[in-house]
Amino acid sequence: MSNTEYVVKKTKDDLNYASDKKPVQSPTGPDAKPLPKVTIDGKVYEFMPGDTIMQVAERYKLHEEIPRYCYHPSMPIAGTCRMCTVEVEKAPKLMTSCSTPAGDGMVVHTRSEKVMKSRTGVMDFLLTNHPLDCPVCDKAGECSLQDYNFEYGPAKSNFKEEKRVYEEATTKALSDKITLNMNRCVHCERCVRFTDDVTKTNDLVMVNRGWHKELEATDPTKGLTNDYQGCLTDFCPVGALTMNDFRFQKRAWFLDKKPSVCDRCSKGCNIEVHSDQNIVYRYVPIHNEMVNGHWMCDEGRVSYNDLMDPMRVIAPLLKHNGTFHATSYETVLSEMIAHVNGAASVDLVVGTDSTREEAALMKDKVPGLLGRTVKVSYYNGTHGVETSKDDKPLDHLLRHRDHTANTRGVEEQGISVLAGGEANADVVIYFRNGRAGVPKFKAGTKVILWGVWSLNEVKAIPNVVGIIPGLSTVEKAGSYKNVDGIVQKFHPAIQHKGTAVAAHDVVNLLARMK
Amino acid sequence: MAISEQIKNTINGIRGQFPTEQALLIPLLHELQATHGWISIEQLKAAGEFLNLPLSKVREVASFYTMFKLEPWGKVDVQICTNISCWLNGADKLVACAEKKLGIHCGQTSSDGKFTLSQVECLAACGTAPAMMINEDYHESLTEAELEKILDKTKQEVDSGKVVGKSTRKDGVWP
Amino acid sequence: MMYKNEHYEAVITPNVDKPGCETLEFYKQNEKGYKALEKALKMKPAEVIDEVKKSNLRGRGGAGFPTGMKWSFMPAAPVDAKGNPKPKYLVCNADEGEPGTFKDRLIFTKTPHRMIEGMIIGGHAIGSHVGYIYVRGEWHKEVRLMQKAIDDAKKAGYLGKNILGSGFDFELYCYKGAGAYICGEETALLNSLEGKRGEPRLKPPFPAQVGAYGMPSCVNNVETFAAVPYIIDQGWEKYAKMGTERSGGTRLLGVSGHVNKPGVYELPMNLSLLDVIEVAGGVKGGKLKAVIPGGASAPMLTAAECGVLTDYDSLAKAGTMAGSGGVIVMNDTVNIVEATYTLLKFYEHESCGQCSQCREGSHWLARMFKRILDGGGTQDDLDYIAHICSNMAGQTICAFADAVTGPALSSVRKFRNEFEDLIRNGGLKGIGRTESISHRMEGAHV
Repeated sequence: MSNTEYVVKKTKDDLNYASDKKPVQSPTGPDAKPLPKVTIDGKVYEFMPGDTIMQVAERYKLHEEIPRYCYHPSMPIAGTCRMCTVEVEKAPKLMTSCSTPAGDGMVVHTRSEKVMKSRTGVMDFLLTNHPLDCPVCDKAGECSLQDYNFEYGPAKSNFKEEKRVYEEATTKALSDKITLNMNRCVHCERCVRFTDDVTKTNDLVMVNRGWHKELEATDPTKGLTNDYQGCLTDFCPVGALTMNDFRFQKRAWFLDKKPSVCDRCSKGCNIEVHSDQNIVYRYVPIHNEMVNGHWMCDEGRVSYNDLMDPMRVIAPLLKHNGTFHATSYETVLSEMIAHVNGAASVDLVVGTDSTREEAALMKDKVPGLLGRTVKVSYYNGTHGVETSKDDKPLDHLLRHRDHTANTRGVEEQGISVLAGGEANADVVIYFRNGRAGVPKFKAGTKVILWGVWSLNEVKAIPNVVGIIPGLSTVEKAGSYKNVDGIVQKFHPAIQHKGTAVAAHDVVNLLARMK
Repeated sequence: MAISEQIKNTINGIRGQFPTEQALLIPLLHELQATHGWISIEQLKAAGEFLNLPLSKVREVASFYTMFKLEPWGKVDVQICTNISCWLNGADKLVACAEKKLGIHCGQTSSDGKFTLSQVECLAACGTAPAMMINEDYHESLTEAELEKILDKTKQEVDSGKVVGKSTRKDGVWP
Repeated sequence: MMYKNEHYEAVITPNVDKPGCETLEFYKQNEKGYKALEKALKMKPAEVIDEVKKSNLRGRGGAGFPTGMKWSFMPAAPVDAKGNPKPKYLVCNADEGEPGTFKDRLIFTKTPHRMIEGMIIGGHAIGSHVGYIYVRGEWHKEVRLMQKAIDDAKKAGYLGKNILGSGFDFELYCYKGAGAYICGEETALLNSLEGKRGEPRLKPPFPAQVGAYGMPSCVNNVETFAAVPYIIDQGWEKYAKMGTERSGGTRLLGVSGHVNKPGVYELPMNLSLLDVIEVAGGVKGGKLKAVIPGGASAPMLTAAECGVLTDYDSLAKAGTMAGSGGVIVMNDTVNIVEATYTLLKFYEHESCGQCSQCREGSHWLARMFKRILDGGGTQDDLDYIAHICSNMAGQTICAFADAVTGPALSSVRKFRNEFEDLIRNGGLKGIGRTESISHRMEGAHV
């Protein structure tokens, strides 16, 4: 288990470019064998034997000069789009940089006249049958076809024939999440390789051959079945595969993009929050080879919808005559203090979805401010998980049984687990981040909820006397320790639009009120 | 529809010839095609189960090769070569003649489901052009008159329930 | 001398017109059948390869690569990561599908044992114990004839364990393709042999390292194998002498199209195309207009260019290729644009669709030619055909895209006036011709 600790940050806008390859240096010493060297565009680079030209370029961040459709750093090489060709001196033909191993002493040109002509040629061919419906295409603005055409494309096309039209597949549901527009497809088959080799679900297939190749769900009656369908839309270089959740919601160029961490399970996939005016439109994964590679699961991807839930509690609430009424922080806190002072026993339960900082605050600060003995414990409550020992991967990729983000981080604070999942004090304060489950409460226990809550959920909990709203992951700063022991720090990706405040602000207020 | 025991036996019989299960896929599809005239999605699924292959591998292969028909096909598959040597030697006339005789265009199946007519690419019978195939059998150096004769005979045979165009085939024997 | 070559004798087809020539008995009685195998099994593998190298035998499938050299690329004793020995496979490419080519079918039906013997010798030479014959799927009868020949050879002890007491084991199996021209490309063939889509593979790795089922493999054409017994039996010198400096032996030429006696002719390579047409009974139905000398992919030659010799190097010098030996003869009743469209429509249908240029380009060219035939062509189109071709040739995984440009480019270059005629006069109708029924879009082949 690694103990790496770092701040989640943006790598590159486009996941199709992200790579974790690092520069290498020949070992020093009298007997050390130097690494082979390749010359790319006039500069000499050392590389590891076995690297392809593309991989050498990735090591030295030159790879953005090499356009690609079918190449993806986390998938098997196809070498079919022919967009990444480069000129290798002494080779009779242009070589695909994705598949050609670099050789010691090899001289490579990535932007020679011959190369540029070839790329223009590929663009000319790919555009012949593309519908050019960019105005209504969700991919517009982040589309490889657009970007490469801008850089390499022919100024005009002489294609006068009829375009290929897949009538049934112009808008075809591959599942309830993904819509296919086959006319836009450039046949890179990244999607097929993804389902074959990454998810290993084999639920996409390219049928027929040649000009008539068509993407279909393997079993049309079932559609796509994998849990990572959203990734298809990340690496689809064009608008052929789009996610229903984002379809027609927002033009890509209006989106603000800030890094954060997904809080939907103990994996902690690195994400980029795409928002406009602090309304989130989607999450996309950020490449992090240590955590999530290039991928994230669908559950995490659409979890921003919970954040935007209209029933989310975003103001302090107090229950009066059976219904909740909005109030001020001072009022809800003094009510809480009154309940605590009058109780024989008080439990402070911390959800394992809280950040490490919040957990420390709950353990170290809050009991002191309440001025009495308070039993602090933590609670997970997702899928039968009590402690981090109960966590298990749900598949060979990312998904985990523990649906909270920081069980290990909370345990690390020295807080003990809520025994039996039952809080049986007279008064229970439960702080969580919208993801941990709800523990059992003793009949008659007065419950104060704190953090991220939805009113729908609260209805089912008896004896809630007040709710203190909190910020969700993408709205706050903090850190999580994931299932593999990696600590990931994050900053707010959007500004909260209600009146909820960070936990430490509530604690500060409590301190002032004392 | 499951795969018949006979086909399973045929395929099991050649299992030792190839180091992988997947290599048996094309022979299996050939047997299904020859037995049923076309291959349904249920049979593709059964093929995948029989060979332990995901359906996607079966479908992508079945749809790549033109000899596998994935929709209902005529009992008699009439394929006329219209590639260069046959075209130079009057394949056009054969196509016209067959269309007239069968009352269907190329790419169509007769309403009784007995005949499907299509153009096919080079059969490697250029020296005996024009050529055509009826199911598994070649017919070469054709004239319109001969074509008519062959189609008449085939029609008669198929009407009387005979197996046509498979003169060298022995069921259960590979290849 | 009819063939202008004192060294010439038929190597593969001396008796193909005789009844019963396909049987084992005939082969043994009249053609010294399996004698070369006996001899080869007494030689060291390296000696066999050397003999083939010196004979200047070049691959007869289309690319013309020296066979002995190909065999010598095979690793001697390959091992896997754990150090266990890996099997090696010998594969016969019998996916004959290049339009205009039909020579391998003759070998299959008339002299299958010659090819089988060649394969066993090849297996001995490269150290392989299993051979596969990849036969095109349409050859139902042919593959069954071949299977019978294999069964007979096995019964006679030429296949199986300890062949002729030499300790060498070799098994031979037939595999049927299923209707894909591209499977004639050796790596596409290997994929197909593995039960996958027939899509050509990226090279490197080459088949000699990673071939069939991931093992070192060697793929040769039917005719190539069929020439081997003669070379071993008669010695390399005799075979080499028949040919030219850089390619030995005879070639099987399939002459088709507008000739009086179409068929397969085994000929020495110092004949010109005009001689070959003469052998095939001369042009029928008109005067000679154009010849495609090596299967559909070879750029066409005008009648005036047909004095060229039919060896690999002379044809390459003339801007075309020997290819697979399919000589397609066209007389002056043919409209070249129509004839070329016939081929382009074929390529459009057969592109595997992996590479962008080939998938889109082969379709584009075909549709462009059709538009010109239909009367919608412009002068710009003619220049643009060359432009499209320059963006296709040499840009893709396999040589298919280059093959498409063969007929497309040569037709425009050499018969530009016919294109201009169609463009000026509004297509075929304008010059008084009717559209070929097989060129309709609807009812296209499946």
